[in-house]
Amino acid sequence: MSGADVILEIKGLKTHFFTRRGVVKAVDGVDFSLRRGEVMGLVGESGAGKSITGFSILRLIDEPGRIVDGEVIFEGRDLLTVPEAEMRRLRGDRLAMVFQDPQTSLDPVFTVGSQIVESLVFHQSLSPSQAGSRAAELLRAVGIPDAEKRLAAYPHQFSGGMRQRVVVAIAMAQNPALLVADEPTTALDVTIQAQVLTLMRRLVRNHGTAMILITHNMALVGQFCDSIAVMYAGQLIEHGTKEKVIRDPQHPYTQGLIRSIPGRQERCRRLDQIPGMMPNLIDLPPGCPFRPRCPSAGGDCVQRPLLRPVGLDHQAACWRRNRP
Amino acid sequence: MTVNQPLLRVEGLTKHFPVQKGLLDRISFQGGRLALRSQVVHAVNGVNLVLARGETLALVGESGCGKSTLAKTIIGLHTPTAGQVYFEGQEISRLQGRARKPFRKKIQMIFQDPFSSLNPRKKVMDIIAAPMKVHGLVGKTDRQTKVYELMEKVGLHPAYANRYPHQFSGGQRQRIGIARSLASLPELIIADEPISALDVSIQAQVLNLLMAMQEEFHLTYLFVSHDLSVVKHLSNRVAVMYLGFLVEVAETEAIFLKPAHPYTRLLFAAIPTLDVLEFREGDQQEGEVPTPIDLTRGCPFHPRCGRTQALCREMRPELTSLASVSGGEHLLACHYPVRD
Repeated sequence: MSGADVILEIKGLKTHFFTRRGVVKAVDGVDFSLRRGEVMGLVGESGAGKSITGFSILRLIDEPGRIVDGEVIFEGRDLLTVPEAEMRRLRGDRLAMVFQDPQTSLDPVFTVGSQIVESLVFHQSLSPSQAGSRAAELLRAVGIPDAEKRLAAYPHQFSGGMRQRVVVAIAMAQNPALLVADEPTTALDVTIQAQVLTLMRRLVRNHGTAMILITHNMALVGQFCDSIAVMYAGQLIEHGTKEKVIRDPQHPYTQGLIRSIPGRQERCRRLDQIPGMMPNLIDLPPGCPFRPRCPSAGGDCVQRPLLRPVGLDHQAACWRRNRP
Repeated sequence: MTVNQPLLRVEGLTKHFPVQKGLLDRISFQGGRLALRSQVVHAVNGVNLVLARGETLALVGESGCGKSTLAKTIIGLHTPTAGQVYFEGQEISRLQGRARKPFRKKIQMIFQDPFSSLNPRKKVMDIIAAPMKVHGLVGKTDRQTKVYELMEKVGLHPAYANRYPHQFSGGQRQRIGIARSLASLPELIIADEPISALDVSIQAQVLNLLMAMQEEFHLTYLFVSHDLSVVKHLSNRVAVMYLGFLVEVAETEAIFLKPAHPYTRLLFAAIPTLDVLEFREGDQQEGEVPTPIDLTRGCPFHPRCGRTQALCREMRPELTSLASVSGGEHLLACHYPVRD
């Protein structure tokens, strides 16, 4: 997965949170790259560091968190060295983000129209009336009927699915090169989730936008994404095309996770389960973070395994898989 | 009591909630005169349901479809607006106080959120012992041993008995909730989305525990969920709810093989599974779930349904038995069922 088409390359990203109880290594050395138009699913349990990885790309990390190491090379530039003023222009322009809860990512005291116009005026220096008609266009593009009238409505007058469509409209307004969507449909109903995802997929394809879909839902990324990256305890432990990761997982965690999802085993049989739970990210012992729960852990697992090729377009971070 | 008597029978169960609004919102003109309008949320509408002893019935539907309200009305957390709930043949929905108590023991509930369903100021020991104490099941001297026993059964170390809920993870807390529900030796357990708040790798652990407990204690489950793969795995029958109405009830295999209601089709198609890795755009249907405040005439699903005909707008279809190939009962409320 390399070549001229790469628009995002993350190298050794480390984002740590300095709390009173210790250093939480939320993201601890993550590497991956994304090609133009690629849709990547970033999956993991809560606390695995997937959202913090997404936030780190847009540099939306607040105290006590800090990006302590690594590079985020986006369109040839390391975003971590870009001055804040310029970063502000990049966000919403070349880089966009959609958050989990459309209820909180829209401001309740401004109309939907004014929130779309705000971003258009900031990024495109359109006149208010131009921005108004462009905003209506954007709303129509995300499937909101009566777009001109709905511009004057407030977020609470929209349903959850409609609100998320508005957020998607704002995010896609400038044709960003990269869209980071953090659990964009978790707060929505399943039938609405399908509608919003179809919409996002279509917009992303039409604009050639690369997308990172952050979710805990393995089946969802299986359908929606081209590639899948699996995170565990702040580290990327498997990365590959969705067919490889779901049909032929190589890391014991991914294997366990996929085996534990019900639906394909004989009914009412006990499910394969991964024993234990994800370790505390404070004082994470050295070595493979999955070692305490791993069925095939051995002596060499006290050394941290790095992500290495296990097949074509497929990498895993496990000592058991690296030897051909 | 006959042998074939169902454990639970729900007849015409209806639960409406008045909408609390200010005076100005309720004033309207009717025939040239001012009138006060009162609005009602039609959460559950005339539900008929039977649960056989030992079975697992899954109740599925989107949020706001009334599945949790139905569960809470069955267990007595809401008083029904109309209809009856029979437990072992006895009507229980309007029982109160002392008369209700034996049924509180026999029907227990496991809640979705393991964070808010445990009292943060009580130790695990007291939480699990409470039902034993209330129902006088276990004497003071034996209670501790009983609690330890239950904790071991649900996979918690008895050494943790003197800890508080906040000292546990979500999965462990759900285990505490399960131990508490088992403490009164219930016959029916209503589980309202018991694993949806848990992390993926923990979900299988709790599902396995629920299955093991069902075998050991011969439990009957009413399993409220929107996770179809879970439903497919552990339920015997599935009931699909839409806007407070049951629209389809059938054996799990039959309904997954041949869903007959257009809504069931839509719901099943919308939920991603690991079986299919490509994105099927054509299956999507526009439209949103209408509010349960003003019920439309006719079939509740007709505004979103792609197969609507004149009859659907006029007459509400009743839940009736469909000729089923497998021999199991297949109930459906649709004028023009999907057959292919």
